[in-house]
Amino acid sequence: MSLAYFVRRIIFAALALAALMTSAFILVRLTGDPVNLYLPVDASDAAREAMRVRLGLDRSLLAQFLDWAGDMLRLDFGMSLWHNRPAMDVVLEALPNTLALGAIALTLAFLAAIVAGSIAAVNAGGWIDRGINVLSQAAASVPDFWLGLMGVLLFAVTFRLLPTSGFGGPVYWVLPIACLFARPFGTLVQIVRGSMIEALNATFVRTARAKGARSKRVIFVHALRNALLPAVTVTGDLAAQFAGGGGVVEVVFGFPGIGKLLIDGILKRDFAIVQASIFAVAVVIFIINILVDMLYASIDPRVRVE
Amino acid sequence: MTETASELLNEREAANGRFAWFLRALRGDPMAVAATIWLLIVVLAIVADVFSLLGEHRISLKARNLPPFDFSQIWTLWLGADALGRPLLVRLIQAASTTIGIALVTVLTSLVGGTLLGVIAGYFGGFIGNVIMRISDIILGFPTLLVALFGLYLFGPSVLNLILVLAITRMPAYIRVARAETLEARERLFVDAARVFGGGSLWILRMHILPSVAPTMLTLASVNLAMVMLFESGLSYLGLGIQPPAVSWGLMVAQGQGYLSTAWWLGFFPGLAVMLTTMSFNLLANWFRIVNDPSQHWRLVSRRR
Amino acid sequence: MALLEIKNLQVSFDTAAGRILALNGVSFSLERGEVLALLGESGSGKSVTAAAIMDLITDPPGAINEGTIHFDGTDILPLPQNERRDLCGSRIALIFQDALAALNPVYPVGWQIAETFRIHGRTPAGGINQAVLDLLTAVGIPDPGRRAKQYPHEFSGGMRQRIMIAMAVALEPDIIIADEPTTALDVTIQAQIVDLLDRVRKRSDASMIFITHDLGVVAELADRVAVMYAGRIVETADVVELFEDPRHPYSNGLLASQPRMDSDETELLPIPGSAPNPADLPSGCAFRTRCSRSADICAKTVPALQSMGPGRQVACHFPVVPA
Repeated sequence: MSLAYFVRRIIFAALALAALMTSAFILVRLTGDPVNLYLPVDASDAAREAMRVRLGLDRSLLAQFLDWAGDMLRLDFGMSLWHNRPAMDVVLEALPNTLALGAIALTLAFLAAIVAGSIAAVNAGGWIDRGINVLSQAAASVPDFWLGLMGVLLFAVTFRLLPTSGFGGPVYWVLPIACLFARPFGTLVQIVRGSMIEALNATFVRTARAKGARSKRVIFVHALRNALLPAVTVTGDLAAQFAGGGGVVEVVFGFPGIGKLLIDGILKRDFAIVQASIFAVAVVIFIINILVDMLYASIDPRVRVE
Repeated sequence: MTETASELLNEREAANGRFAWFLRALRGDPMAVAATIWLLIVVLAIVADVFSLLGEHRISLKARNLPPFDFSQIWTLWLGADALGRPLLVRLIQAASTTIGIALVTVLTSLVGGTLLGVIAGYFGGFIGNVIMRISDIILGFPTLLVALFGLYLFGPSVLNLILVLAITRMPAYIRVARAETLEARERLFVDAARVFGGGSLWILRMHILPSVAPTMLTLASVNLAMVMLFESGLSYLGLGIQPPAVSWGLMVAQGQGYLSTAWWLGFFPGLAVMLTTMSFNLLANWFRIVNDPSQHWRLVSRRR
Repeated sequence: MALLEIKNLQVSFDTAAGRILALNGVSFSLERGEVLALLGESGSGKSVTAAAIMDLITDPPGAINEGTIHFDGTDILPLPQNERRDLCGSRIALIFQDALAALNPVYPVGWQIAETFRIHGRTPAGGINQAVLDLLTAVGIPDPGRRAKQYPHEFSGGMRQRIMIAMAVALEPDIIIADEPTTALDVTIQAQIVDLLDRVRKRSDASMIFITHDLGVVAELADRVAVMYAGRIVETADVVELFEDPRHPYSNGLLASQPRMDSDETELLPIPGSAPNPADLPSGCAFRTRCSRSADICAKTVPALQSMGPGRQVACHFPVVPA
């Protein structure tokens, strides 16, 4: 793993981020009055004018852009209108919750999918395989917000075992984790099953058998490690999606994470929060991608991170 | 002349054979059969809705939050009624038109746009190709939901914006695949041969590149159909997608949320519809892949397990 | 008694086109210390025979329907799976054609050779490392201490095949089955590998089944030859006898299609047509559609493998008679 690799990754990530933020800046000004992003549609003309001056929209486009770019470089995303605090502070408070939630759900999904996918692959074509297939297809197809509501209906409303929403001790984490677990689990089972079947039919598995290895050794030592490679790649992609995509589930449970913050920011037209959350998510994704590359290189000797 | 005639005959025989084989393979996979049946039901419902065969359904306060499975009522009320007394089954059917219509148009848009851009990037390469690929990389680098949310925030929620935003966020996947397939097809000998015989770029694209790219793109589209439906439902649930008085399954879940403890069916059935439809698309896409992979065929016909 | 005796082996595979018979009554035997070449075109059933001996036929879609495989006096087909596994690697070893695919990409090669020792547990753990290094030296890999820690993709094709051979002979098996071990290699390397195989085999006086379609290698290595066609053995003979006096029209055709050093004939005669589709074999003798000697009876009855002199069997209604 070379320094050049890190430098190249950082440059590309920075360019991507700059491109996204700049196109947002341009789009905001192309699509009409940026004041619309901060105020409700029915705001008064006086309020609009005040906001316009406050945002510096009365100045030239170039001056606005230079100002904005300077703020971005100083990681200053402005004040949140709703929280009345610097937007970045609010975002940094929410970020750890989202990361913990996503990491737990994804790790559980990864482990469960390896077990279920391997069992399905070893019994390929049999009834166990079909059962796991239906279950995983259902998990991959269930809308997470609906799963959340049904979980609330069953465990909070009917049986009163878990809180409906909010934040606090471990009980508040159960339903959100369960909801975020479903889709990655379903997707990964399919991946693991497929790559496991491929690995079990690979010539190197025949070699292991020819050497006298029994089934357990063949499956766990020889096939599984190879079958994990695609699953790790897909888990990395899912992790990137999760960095901002746990959003809907966080809204359902009122879980104070970055997804809820972002969606609330959008619904309440709090542009500083939207900008800051997107920036934070982009940075997290960048780190996740590097971690996945390193993990991949450590389990597949053919890949040398260059 | 006779040669072309016999070729045509062979092609038709092959097509018949393939159709028969599809039917045979479908028999071996009960889940694919179930998926097909569910999708047929959905299609029939949409047709009925489009041709206004469901009749008029006014707000009826007498039927407010009527529970489901009361078969003494008229059939439209068998799945209950919502807070305004509108029959849930009819609402579900109307929502099916919106949800599936939007998913189809979105997938079609990203399929056509992505294939075109990908083929251009792959076939011509150069500066334009690079720009196309860099932009796709950037879009792919961010969570789909995030990009879609941001787009809807900037442009405001409307059906057209929803379709455009979802189509553009899914497009990079098509671009990548189309480009890779084009590069591969371009390398193959028959394209060189076509060039030697003086076919223009357009002719080569139409006759040689597109036919070899198409199958992979269609498989990708079938998988994406399910994904787009889930995204649309999520966005509509959040209030950033389909707006009332229009109705989609995701929006119905949001509207039923407030009645969770008193009228569970309002949120339950639309979500179930999303799940069953998405699952059917996924199952059929899966089955389609197996059918197109000769090394997997025995799974569909073997009777021993 | 023969070390390995295969009788009437029948193996089928289910495919979309229906059930195909990959082996249709294969019988042959292998003596101690003998090198038997299994000769035939691809698809004739050579590799399936090896897979059947090593219990490598995946069921489904494959299945062994009939036949016996006696190894050292015991029919191994009815044995429980674990006992079959114990034979593999220790008493019967297999070398695959494509060493890159046959080595596990994610483990160092030294580890993979050591695994053979560890699975069978006959070598004390402390001695395994040294045994691996000795093996690598024996198969001609320079700097074995460093190379043992490397991964398969870091070796050349010839080196990988040497590692496969080291793995196969680790426990000095009674039988080495080499399934086209040189097909994927450059011509110059091929000769080295054939040489090495011969050397390591002689060292432990093992028997060998050498699967190939290369007549040159057969002439160099084999004591005896079994010619396969469409899932059957059509001729078995001493190697010299087969080359000088092939009896089955197919063996005859194979030899006539090769250039020969010891002959003045300059004309090569290819066998007309191509190998039959295994899902749609001709009735009777599968070779009759390509055979100049075929008559009505060839379409009606399958010719049985019949003895024609010591160690010689031919399955043909109208065998070639020596001139």
